[in-house]
Amino acid sequence: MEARTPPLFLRGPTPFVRLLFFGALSLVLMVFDARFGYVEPLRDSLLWFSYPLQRVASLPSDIFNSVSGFFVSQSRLQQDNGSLRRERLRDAERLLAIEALRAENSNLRSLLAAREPLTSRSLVASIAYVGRDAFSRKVIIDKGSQAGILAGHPVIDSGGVIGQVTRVHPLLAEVTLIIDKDQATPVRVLRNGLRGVAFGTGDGATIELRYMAMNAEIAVGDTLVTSGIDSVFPAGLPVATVSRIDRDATMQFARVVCTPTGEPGSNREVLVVETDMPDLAPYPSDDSTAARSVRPGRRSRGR
Amino acid sequence: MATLPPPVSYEMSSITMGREVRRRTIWLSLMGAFIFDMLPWHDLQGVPDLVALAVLFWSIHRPFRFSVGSAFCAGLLLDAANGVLLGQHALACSALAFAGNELSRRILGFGLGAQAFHVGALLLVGQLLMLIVRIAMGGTFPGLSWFASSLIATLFWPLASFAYRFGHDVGHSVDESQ
Repeated sequence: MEARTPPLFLRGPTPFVRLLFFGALSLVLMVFDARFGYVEPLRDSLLWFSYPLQRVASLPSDIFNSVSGFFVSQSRLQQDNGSLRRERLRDAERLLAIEALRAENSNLRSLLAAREPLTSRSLVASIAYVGRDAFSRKVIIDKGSQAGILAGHPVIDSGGVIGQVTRVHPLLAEVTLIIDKDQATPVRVLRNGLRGVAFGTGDGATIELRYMAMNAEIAVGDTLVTSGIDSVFPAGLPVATVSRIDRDATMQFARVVCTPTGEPGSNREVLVVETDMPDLAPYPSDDSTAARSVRPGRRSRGR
Repeated sequence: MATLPPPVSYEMSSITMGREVRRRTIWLSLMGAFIFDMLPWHDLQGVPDLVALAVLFWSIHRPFRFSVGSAFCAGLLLDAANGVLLGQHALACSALAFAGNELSRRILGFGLGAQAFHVGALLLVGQLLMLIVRIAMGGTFPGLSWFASSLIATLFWPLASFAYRFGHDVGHSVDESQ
C-alpha cells in the first residue's frame, strides 16, 4: 500500500479538518467543564498520566530542600529551637485558657440545648505545585481523597485561612486560595460580629468584602474571622485584617480591602481542616417551587 | 545567519528527504517540556510555556508526524495538571499545531531569526486565544506582562533548532558508519 501511494496523501484528513474537529471538541469540553462539571472523570484519569511527570518535576526542589536541611548549622538549629520553645510556652498558656473556655462553652451550650459546633481534625499537607494559570489562584497539595480530604475542606496556615479544597483526586487535591477572584469566604468582623462575604480582588495579594453598606461599622485594622454560618468553615479562624476602606458616595457599597493574615501561596506546608460536615438538607429535587428558596449550607463556591 | 544552508535545500532535507524522527523523540521532548512547565515556578512571571513551543516546533519540523490531534492531547494533559478549564490549552495547542502544519514550508524557508519572529507571533496568538476563552468565562485580564512568556519562549526556538539539527547530524553519521 505504502509503496503505491504518494506520501503526500498519507496525511489523512487535512489539518484544517482536524483543527475544526479538535477545536470543536475543546469548546465542547470547556462548556461542559464550566457549566455542567461533567468532565471531572476525564480530568481525574488525565491526572494519573501527569502525576508521575509532576513528581519528576518536583524532584529538584525536594532534593534541594533535603540537602539544604542537612547542612543547616548548629547555631541556627539552636536559635530555632529556642524560639520554638518560647512560642510553645506562650501557646500553652493560651491553650489552657481555651480548654477552660471550651469546657465552659459546651456546658452553656448543653444548657441551651444548642447544637454542638463543628468538630474538626486537621491534616498537614505540603504544596506539590502551583497551577500555571494567570487567571486564577490555585495550588495543588500532595494529599488527596486517599488521605480523607473532601472537596470543601478549609485550608489554613499558621496565620489563618488561606483557601478551600475545590477538587479532589486520589493522590492530589486542588486548593483555591482566598485571593482567587471567584473564591468566597464567609466572614464576620471580630470586634462587632458584622457578617460579610470576602472575595479575592484578583491582584494576588488582597481580598475585599463585597456588598458592605456605606455606613457599615467597620474600620481599618479590624480583624475578620470565619463566621461559621456556612457549616463548612469552623467559626473563628482568622482570615484577614482590614487595610483600606473607600466610602465613595457615588457608589452603592463601600469598598473594603483586606490583607489576609495567612500567607496564601507562599508557604510550603498547609493544614487541611477536616470538618465533619453536618447533615445538610437534601439538594432540592426538580419540584422546584417549594425547594428553590431553601438551600442551607451548600458549599460557599458559586457552583 | 549567513552560515545556514540555502533555504530550499534545508527545507527538502528536513521535511521530505531526511531521516524520519522517531515518534519516541517527539514524545520524550514533549514530556521534557511538560516537566519544565510543572517545575515549582510559583508566581514567577514570564515563565515560557515550553509545551506550546514543542507543539509548534514539531508541527513545523514534522508536519506529517505531528498534527492537531497530538497537540490536542498534550494541551489537554496540561489543562488537567494545572486545574484550569479543561480544553483551554487544548484549543490553543490545536490552533498552534494547525498553524505550524500550514506554515511549515514557509517558516522553514527563513533563517533562524525570522523563524523565531514567526514563532513568537504564533505563540502570542495562542495566548490570545486562551485570553479570549477565559474572559468569555468571566476571568479578568491578568495584565500585559502575561504575554511576556511567549516572548521569552521565542528565545528557546534557536536553542531547540540547534539541538534538533545536532541530533539529526549525529543520527545521520551513526547511520552512515553502520
